[in-house]
Amino acid sequence: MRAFHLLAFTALILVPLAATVFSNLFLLDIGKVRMDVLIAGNRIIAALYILAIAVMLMANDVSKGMIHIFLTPPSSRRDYLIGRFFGLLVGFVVVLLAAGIGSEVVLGLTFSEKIEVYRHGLERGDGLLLALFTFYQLISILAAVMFICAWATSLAEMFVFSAGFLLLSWLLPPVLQAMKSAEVLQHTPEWIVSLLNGVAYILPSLNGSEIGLALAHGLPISSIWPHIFEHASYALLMLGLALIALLRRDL
Amino acid sequence: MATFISKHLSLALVVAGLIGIIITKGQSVAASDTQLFSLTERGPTPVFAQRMFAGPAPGLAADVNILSSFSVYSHINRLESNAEHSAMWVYLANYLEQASILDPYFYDTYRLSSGLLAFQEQHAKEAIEIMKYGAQYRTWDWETPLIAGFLAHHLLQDNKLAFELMKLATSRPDAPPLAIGLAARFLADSEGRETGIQYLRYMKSIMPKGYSKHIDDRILEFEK
Repeated sequence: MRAFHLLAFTALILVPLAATVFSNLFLLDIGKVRMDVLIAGNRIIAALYILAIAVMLMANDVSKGMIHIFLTPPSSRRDYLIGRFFGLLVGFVVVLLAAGIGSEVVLGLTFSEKIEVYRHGLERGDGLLLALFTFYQLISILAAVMFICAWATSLAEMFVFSAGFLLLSWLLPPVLQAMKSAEVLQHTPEWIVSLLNGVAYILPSLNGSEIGLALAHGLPISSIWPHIFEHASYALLMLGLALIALLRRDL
Repeated sequence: MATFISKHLSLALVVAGLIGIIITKGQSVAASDTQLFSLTERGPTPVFAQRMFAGPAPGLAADVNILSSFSVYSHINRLESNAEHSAMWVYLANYLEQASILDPYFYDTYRLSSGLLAFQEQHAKEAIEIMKYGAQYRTWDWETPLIAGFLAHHLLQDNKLAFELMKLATSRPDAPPLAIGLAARFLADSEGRETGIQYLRYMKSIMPKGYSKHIDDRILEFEK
């Protein structure tokens, strides 16, 4: 509960404050810099939410046997997993609502700037949109973490694999994107290209850096729906796998 | 000894940690004394690595590059030798270039390129390249290609490039008539007066009526 309060406080106060202070170091595109800090801050909060709350809760349930309290009839393992997943999502909505309100306040300060270039591309409601943008990306990551927790045996395993997955989802998409550029492909052996295409096909584009840039500069986001759909599909797949793993494991 | 450590593991870890901190503290003081990490030995991290570490926030990586360029500029102002100056300007150019690659829409990069980098003789071309790159992305902005075009004419005496950039400026919303006049002038300087007049007539046919008087004045000036 303390971790949850701390994350909500960070999202509501600390990240917006950091955005305001950091942006004052720049010359003109101040609104954009504020958005950059808010984007990074929200993503870090999302990662911390998964590690400090979701993984800890699942580890507590599985390794300390708390899960048996939930598995009394008529509740089944499926009910437990789905309930945990949506419960964690609702908890994250609260944190993101705090993030959205904090972001709106910071962006509201930006709108009061008289010089247009300071607030170029920003619109009212962008703070809440940013929170929404972070939320839908979290759904697939959370589902993948549920899958990890469904088969991992202890807190250490759950934490290491989940942290590894989070790290991969942060680092890998830009690497894959860069490796797929024409310039790099010219110097890459064909079998590595096939391998990369395979990896890129399996992993969803969890990064969304282009969407982040578009939000920061007020550019139209044309491919948002395929991106959301991809995340939702990946979340369903992972939740299904998590269910299979949980139904088959010894508790 | 082993039994003692296993019995007092937490205490052993704390002591080991403290020793580690003291050792590294001593090293960092020594390093700062000998200027191991002076700016002349440090360049920007490759853009690929920056993009990777920035993950979903490449804009933040661009911001950090801009802050680094401020820091390099402040260092330049404190240097005395010319050799060190040139090395520092190379770093500053690299930071600005990387900022433009990471976030091509970031206005501060182009303002610094035109205000600082362009007026260094060896780096004027790089500054204009950076601005040209950004102008392709910032489709709402006429100011960046206009300034880049003017700098290409003034600093590089490259009227062909100046015309190309000025033409880009005129294609942007709310571009001032000045851009059309300058574009025509740079075209006339590189391709001849007749081509300049043809360009102005073409622009008159596609631009809103508010621009007509200014364009007519320019045509008359060329025909004199």
